Amino acid sequence: MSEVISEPFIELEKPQKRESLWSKALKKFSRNKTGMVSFVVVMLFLLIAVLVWSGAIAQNWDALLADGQMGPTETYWFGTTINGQDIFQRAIYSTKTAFEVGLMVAIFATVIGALVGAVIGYFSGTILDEFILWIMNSIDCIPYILMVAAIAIALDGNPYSMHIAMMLAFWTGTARVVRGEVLKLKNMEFVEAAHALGVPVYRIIFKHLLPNTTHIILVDMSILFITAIKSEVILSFLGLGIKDSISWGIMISEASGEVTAGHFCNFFAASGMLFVLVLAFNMFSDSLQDALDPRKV
Amino acid sequence: MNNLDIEKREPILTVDNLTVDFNTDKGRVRAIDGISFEVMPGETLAIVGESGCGKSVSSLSIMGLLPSPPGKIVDGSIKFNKRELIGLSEKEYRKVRGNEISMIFQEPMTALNPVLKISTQMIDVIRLHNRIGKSEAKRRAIDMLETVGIPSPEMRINEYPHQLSGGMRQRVMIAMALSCGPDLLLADEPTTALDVTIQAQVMTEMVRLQKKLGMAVILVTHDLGVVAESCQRVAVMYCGQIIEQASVQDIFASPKHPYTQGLLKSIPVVREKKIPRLATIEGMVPDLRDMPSGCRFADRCQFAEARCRASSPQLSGAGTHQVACFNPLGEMQ
Repeated sequence: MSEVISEPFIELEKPQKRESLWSKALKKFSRNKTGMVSFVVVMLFLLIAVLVWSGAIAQNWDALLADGQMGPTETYWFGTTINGQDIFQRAIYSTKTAFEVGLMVAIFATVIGALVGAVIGYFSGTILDEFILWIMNSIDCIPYILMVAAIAIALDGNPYSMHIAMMLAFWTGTARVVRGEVLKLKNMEFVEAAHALGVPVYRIIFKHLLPNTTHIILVDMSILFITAIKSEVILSFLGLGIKDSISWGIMISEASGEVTAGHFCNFFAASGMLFVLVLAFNMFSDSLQDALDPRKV
Repeated sequence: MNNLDIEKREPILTVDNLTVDFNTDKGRVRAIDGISFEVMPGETLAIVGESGCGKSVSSLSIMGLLPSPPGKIVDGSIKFNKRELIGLSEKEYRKVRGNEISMIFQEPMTALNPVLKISTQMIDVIRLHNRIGKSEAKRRAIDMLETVGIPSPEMRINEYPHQLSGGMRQRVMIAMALSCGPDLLLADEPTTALDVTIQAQVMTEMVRLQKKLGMAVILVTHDLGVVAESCQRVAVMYCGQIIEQASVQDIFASPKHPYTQGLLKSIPVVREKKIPRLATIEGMVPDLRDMPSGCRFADRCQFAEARCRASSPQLSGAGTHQVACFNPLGEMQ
């Protein structure tokens, strides 16, 4: 009898390795043109950010180099600001700021959200769950712009007060979706089977349930990355953003006075870079989602 | 082995007057009403009965996995190797589960974690109960997979559950449940979700493993065909009570309770040329919230008389064949 089921596998037993989820996803992704183009663009931005961070380029973003309000010239490709700073260098340097905000907020907020969401999802209906849900609801009630202002004042000049405020405001979204998924998963038989084999609760939560939510966490992380970058622009425009550095938001804020006077360089440089990065990243995460979805061919 | 041998030995599991209540929004419901049974080392006990009669609740109670709330063990004792299980702390119970008592489930499709490799899941369980290194645990996992009849286990162990067929997955589940050498295996309808040919394979495999490893098995099922092939003793449950308990030969040859007889009559017989209309048991299972005070089967029983409705018969009988009926079949005529 047992030959009946073992037969089909014999051919597959040869050294040829079966495709894993990731190698399959990679193959699918490499066939997707939009995905590849957007991936290259995002990587280009990342490269710029790394070069800025390592100190190789755009270190003179704050120096007064030339006359103010010059149009694009050979030396200053995007022209200069009212103070005579190089807009090109400022726009390039801002890439680093954007990635700093996006990555920090996306990683920390999703990690906190996933951990909390998994725990309260498992203990749903208990006082712990009720209490944390109540805290999450309270956080969601506060407009995060107010929260940033409050935290900026509370931290008194900490350069990362905006980052911390965004993390505190954004983790609740991830926690909610992960909680919902865990709520669904914890009633599945493999969790009961794990109980029946004597697996302790903390291992069930973090080893059996949390890895099952990876797809949600990945998507959430990419959404948060974009949200954080856009929020940074808004907050910097309002004067609540980063301090002692340059960002696209600060550039747009500066440009608001210049545009009425007919100087568009600052504005176009900042919003153009922002637009390209956000669009490319959105397309990239869309393609990534498609590639990781086993139901799509 | 004959019955005399079994009687001389100590039972490995003794369930005594186990009573389980469930709190529902319509009030308290008694899902199990004082069941008692014993399992001897190395034997297979089948618990049969229709849906909702309390088979699964009994096995979950033994595992200490009864969802609580709403479930609650209100009375009785469960002794495993002379040790009382009811009232054990969660931590102590965890050491019993998977190690001394193991369980396999109905749905092999969902009983394995889809995002973890077989190796991760098996090594995890082995290392939970044994102080051994990873490579040692992996070797043992591969041995176990080989034992349950999985071809090329060194390859298979590195795969994910979705790469295996249903029968394979159930074998992996069995391997996992047996990897720590339990003395007792609870199998809750282990073959229901598999198709018939695979069912036969898995059952044969289980019987073989049981003989090889010498463990006791409680097989929870509603499939009497499976019972006939693989069990030594049978307990028939109806509405939360055990109504008949006997060796498998006695149950099939001379059932004493009218319900057991009805169950056996409702199995289709294939070899006859002209298939008569399949027998059914008249009537409906009484509502758990509104149990009759007398025999619970009285309303559906063609032999019922006044005293059946007045008082409830107790499980009794000489030797190994016990029945809870005032008018056991065979003795009445």
